[in-house]
Amino acid sequence: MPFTAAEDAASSIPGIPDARFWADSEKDFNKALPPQPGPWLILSSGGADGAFGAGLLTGLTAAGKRPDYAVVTGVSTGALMAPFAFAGPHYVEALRKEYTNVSAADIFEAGKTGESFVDSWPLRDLIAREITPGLLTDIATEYRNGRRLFVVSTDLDAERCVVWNLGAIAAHGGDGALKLFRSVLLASASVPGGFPPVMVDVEANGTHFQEMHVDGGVCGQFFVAPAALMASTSDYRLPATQLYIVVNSGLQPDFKVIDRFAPPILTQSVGMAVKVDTRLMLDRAYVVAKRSGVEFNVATIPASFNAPSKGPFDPDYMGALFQTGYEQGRSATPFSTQPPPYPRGPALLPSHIEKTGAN
Amino acid sequence: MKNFFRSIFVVTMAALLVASASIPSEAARRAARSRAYDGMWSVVIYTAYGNCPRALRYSLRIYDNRVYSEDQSFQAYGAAAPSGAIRVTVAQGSQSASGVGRLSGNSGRGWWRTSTGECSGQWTAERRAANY
Repeated sequence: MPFTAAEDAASSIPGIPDARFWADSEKDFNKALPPQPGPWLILSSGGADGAFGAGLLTGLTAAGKRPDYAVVTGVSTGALMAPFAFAGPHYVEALRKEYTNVSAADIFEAGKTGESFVDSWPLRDLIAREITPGLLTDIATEYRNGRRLFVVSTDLDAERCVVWNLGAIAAHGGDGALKLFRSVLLASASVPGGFPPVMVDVEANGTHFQEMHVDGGVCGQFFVAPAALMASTSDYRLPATQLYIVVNSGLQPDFKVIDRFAPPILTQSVGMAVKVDTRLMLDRAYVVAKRSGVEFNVATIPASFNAPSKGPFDPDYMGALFQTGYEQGRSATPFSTQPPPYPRGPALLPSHIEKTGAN
Repeated sequence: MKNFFRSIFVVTMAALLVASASIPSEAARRAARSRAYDGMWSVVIYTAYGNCPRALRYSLRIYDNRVYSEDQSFQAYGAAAPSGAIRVTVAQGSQSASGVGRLSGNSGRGWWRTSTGECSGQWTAERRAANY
């Protein structure tokens, strides 16, 4: 059903008005935050590389270094692990299973759908198995205790980002809330073009229609606060005590000779853009944390990690990455206090060539 | 992802009729039975040997005993017999793989190998929808 920009701007989830807010709404963001400052956990996009974050959180738990995060945010694969990270240390086994007991066959089915290169019904079914009514009950309890769980999807119709208040959805209860919770996770992890978009039922002024939602990574690889509050020109101070950012993707250049075939060309290009975007966002988050007097922490996949991958969602690769994250989580320094340095490749030009005409 | 698309060439199933007895006087029943496996099937390819992805899932259609891919990025051809015996070849570019096995009701299983012998393993299948 056709709808207007004004209707979409005013849209909400029937029966759960506090289910979400626009990611560019400073007022709604501040209203949704916990009543007390505390540590924030920020989980990035990264696909199968989410095994790193899952391993890191498991390692932190094993080492007794995992606080009760006041806020947990997730984008894409970060959204898929966020409910387990939020619900408490007793969900680490579920987290481990989610990232080490799956293969590509559990995530997608090859075959174009008209909306995408592959079909994501296996991931939809996996989410339905993992996101149980019991998990939602635990999340609702933590929400009522003042903690917050946010994940991001992209409203493609509006070209705006949406923050889903999963704690509020869980607290609402019922089959509708469970279904919405699962749909939001699928939407947040649905790479546009790769996976089909997720249609979300909304209403505005008595009109019912469906919005098209895709991967939250379109809006940025992780979410801390609305972009206007993160801007260098803003004087906004994050109401957090510490910021822990888990980057579920490698940030180093990854050389490979690309086949002259549309999917690998797109995959490599998007992967490179994600690295560039992630570094810029980390730099911005660091500045905001310093401005706010908030301790900055970031964990990234170590540059030394070089396990081979035999295709997407390779269980052996993911297992090795989970173990790397686990060991880092248990180590004395699981996080760095500054963004990782930019790689400095060798110069292309021989050093004996001198500039001419300078000055 | 490169391996993923390479492996699309690689496998699946389809159908080959193993000659089976039929009852000439029951043409209608025979026709219905002979198309007992028509529909959309989801096939999972498990690699047991070789440097191929551990498990991949494909969508294939069987219509009037013939196996098709509705995704033009790879070709699938073969046939399913009324007995459930099936043989399929899947190809993309210069790469191909073949599978043999048996369907029964809404499921199936068998073996597959690439044409070069680089990889081999098992497959399972489930019917997700009847033909439309």
